[in-house]
Amino acid sequence: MVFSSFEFIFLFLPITFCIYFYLNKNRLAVGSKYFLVLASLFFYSWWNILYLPLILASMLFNYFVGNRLASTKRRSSSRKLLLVTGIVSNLLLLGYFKYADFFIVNVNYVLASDIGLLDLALPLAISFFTFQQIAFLSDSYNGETGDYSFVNYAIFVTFFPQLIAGPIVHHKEMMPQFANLRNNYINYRNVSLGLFIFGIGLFKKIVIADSFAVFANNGFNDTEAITLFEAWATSLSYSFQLYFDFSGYCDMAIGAALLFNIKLPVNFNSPYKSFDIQDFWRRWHMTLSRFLRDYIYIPLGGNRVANFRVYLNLMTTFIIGGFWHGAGWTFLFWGFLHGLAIAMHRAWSGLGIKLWSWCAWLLTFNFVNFAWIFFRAEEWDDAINIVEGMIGLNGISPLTYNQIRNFDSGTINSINIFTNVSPIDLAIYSVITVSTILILHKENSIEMMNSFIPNHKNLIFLVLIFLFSLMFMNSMQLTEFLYFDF
Amino acid sequence: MTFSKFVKYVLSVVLISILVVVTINVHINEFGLFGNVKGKPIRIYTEERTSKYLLSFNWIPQNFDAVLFGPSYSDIEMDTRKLEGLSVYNLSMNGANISELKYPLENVIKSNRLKVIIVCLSPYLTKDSGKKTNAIDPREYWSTLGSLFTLKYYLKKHLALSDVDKDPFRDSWFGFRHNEYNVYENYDVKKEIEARHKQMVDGKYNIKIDTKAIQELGDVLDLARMHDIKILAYYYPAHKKIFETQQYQVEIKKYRSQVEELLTPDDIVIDFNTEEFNYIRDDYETFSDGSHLSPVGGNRLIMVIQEFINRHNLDTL
Repeated sequence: MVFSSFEFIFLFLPITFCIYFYLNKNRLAVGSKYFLVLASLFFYSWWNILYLPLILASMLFNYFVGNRLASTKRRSSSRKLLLVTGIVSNLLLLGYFKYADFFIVNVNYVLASDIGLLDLALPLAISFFTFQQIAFLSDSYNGETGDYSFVNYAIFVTFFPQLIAGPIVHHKEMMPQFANLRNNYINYRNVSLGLFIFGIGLFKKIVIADSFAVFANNGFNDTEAITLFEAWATSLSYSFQLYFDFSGYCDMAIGAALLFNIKLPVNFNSPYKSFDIQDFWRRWHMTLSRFLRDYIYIPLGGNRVANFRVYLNLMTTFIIGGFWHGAGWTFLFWGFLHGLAIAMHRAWSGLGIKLWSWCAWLLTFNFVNFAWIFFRAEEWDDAINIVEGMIGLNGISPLTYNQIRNFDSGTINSINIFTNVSPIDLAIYSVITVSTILILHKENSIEMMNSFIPNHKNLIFLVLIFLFSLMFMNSMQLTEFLYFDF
Repeated sequence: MTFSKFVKYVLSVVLISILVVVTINVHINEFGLFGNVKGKPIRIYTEERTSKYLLSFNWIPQNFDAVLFGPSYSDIEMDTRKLEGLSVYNLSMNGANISELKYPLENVIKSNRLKVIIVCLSPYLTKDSGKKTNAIDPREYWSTLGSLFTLKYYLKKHLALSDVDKDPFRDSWFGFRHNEYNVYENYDVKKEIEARHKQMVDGKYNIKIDTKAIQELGDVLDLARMHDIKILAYYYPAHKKIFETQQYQVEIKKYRSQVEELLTPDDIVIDFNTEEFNYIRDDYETFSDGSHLSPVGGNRLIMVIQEFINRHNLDTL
């Protein structure tokens, strides 16, 4: 079940909300929590019930290991072994489902062997719940976890708003909220804010991201001989699609959680406004950055080591980050590119030279846009084709006649008054331009939520974006959330 | 305004708006999806695939005894209003293959109200399989209750009504579309046919036959037989000059050998590529370009089909 579906909005969410608070109203606080776990597992199983045992087993195993780590004496020699066993088990599970085929393909290539692929379907959310639980084990080992009840831990892992694609929550910020009795009652302020941010997220996903998806998919599906204009339109469309898709999803997650009085961490803060790549990673997928910093970069030594090691640590962290997103060389290369950019930024900062702000922004945005090409491309060659197109190696003319046909579902629109520019081209460029202006000059959804007051202006705004989104939802071109694949 | 009031207002305004939009669309019932629509006149304005697919759920079964299906060759200028004794809806779609046509066909066949299906046997129908566009999707049924599709449809309906001459669906009460090609591009029919003839002589013509598409066509015909629906199939005419080239003969034989296996002795078959129909296939006036029918050509085919309907008493089934 996706947030942007009728079954979620009109059935699952309201029913779960009503039953949860009904149970709490009748002083069945523990029962309400178990209900929330069951509802979340139902939400998870909607895609494929076969993976339900996997998340249950993972949850039970990590709760058991975490509690053992927390309760065993700190100097006990078995603790480290237990921690290593716990982390390795989690990584093996992730590796088996997510990376096995990647390794087999590469082993086959290097050794010219013919080992059969496993062809396993990636269990939904496995990357997210594995990371959250590794953090839990690590903190249990360091004595940073409290005496958590099983039901609270179960909600921490399975809580449906953040289960599928984050934000990657930390037990320290979630457990106290689940334990707080004041959160057991309907809070209309939170419900208002929740609906407000959920509505904005729905609009971002359904209206904006899915519209960009049409252009991005058309471009990436046919990269051969892609021309300059098409290549730029394609790459920019994907950059905007990804941002609006994932930040829209996170807004919806934050909104849905707020209905239950749970505050999820913010995951995006206008990343395309960044003036340097370090700034970008403080604004993009912030909870992943936090995880990578706390559980990979710092344990590797962070920046408290020799200069060369710092660069190495940065590269390692970003390559792991890239690999976390997907089992493929393009993801590794994307991580490598960002690691390299961060390292270069560090070296540049040491020189004390400052760029003009517009120049810094242009450089950062274009680098990010360039790197997304490798993130999105299914094949290495596709990425290269797009890059070649962007530098004009395939000519500069706008979309071809055939592509115009494809964009319009097989119906030929009359060619526009502008020579060689179809209405579809104009639509693409207009949408991109308007979105860029929006992103650069408007406050983001979280800022809008923070300044929210219940007045008529916000009422009309929210009703309109809900109705628009529902109208788009009931139309044809729907895509799943991009981060479901990771 | 309090937070509590804000929540109540938002939810009630959103729900009421949805209810209003749904009620309006059900009342308009643009595609005859709901309730008794017998006698309700409906024409297409745009989005032929989606429109005909939606009409196939309820409106076509309630109003017609038969359907004609095929690609553009049977869609353009095949005015089934002119057929007597049988009320035939032209379910053909411009550019469609059998994978796409099978969805509306299944709807009308399973309604158990159809007596006859008329099949235009053209290689185009089975040259590929799979859907070519996003259209013809079960979600389109619900999208008629209020969506971008309905909004665009009403807008295009308005535009079509204000620009009647160029609207290819202006007479589509029985589903057919006018020839729009000559409106935008003036074809010289003779030149077009000469060019195709040269293609044949040069050996540059191949008929693609998709095995899956052939299977799907067979499935549709079998489904019709299971529902006691009579099948009238006709081989679409190629211009005589083209038909008689060696290359075309080789290719068309391969095609026909596969299609003939799908037909049974109970089916009625018209072959427009025989001497009997030279007045149709050996006349440039039949065509609007190298292959599509002109209004004259459409009339000629309709008259022959009428003859076969009468000869086999299909109107009394």
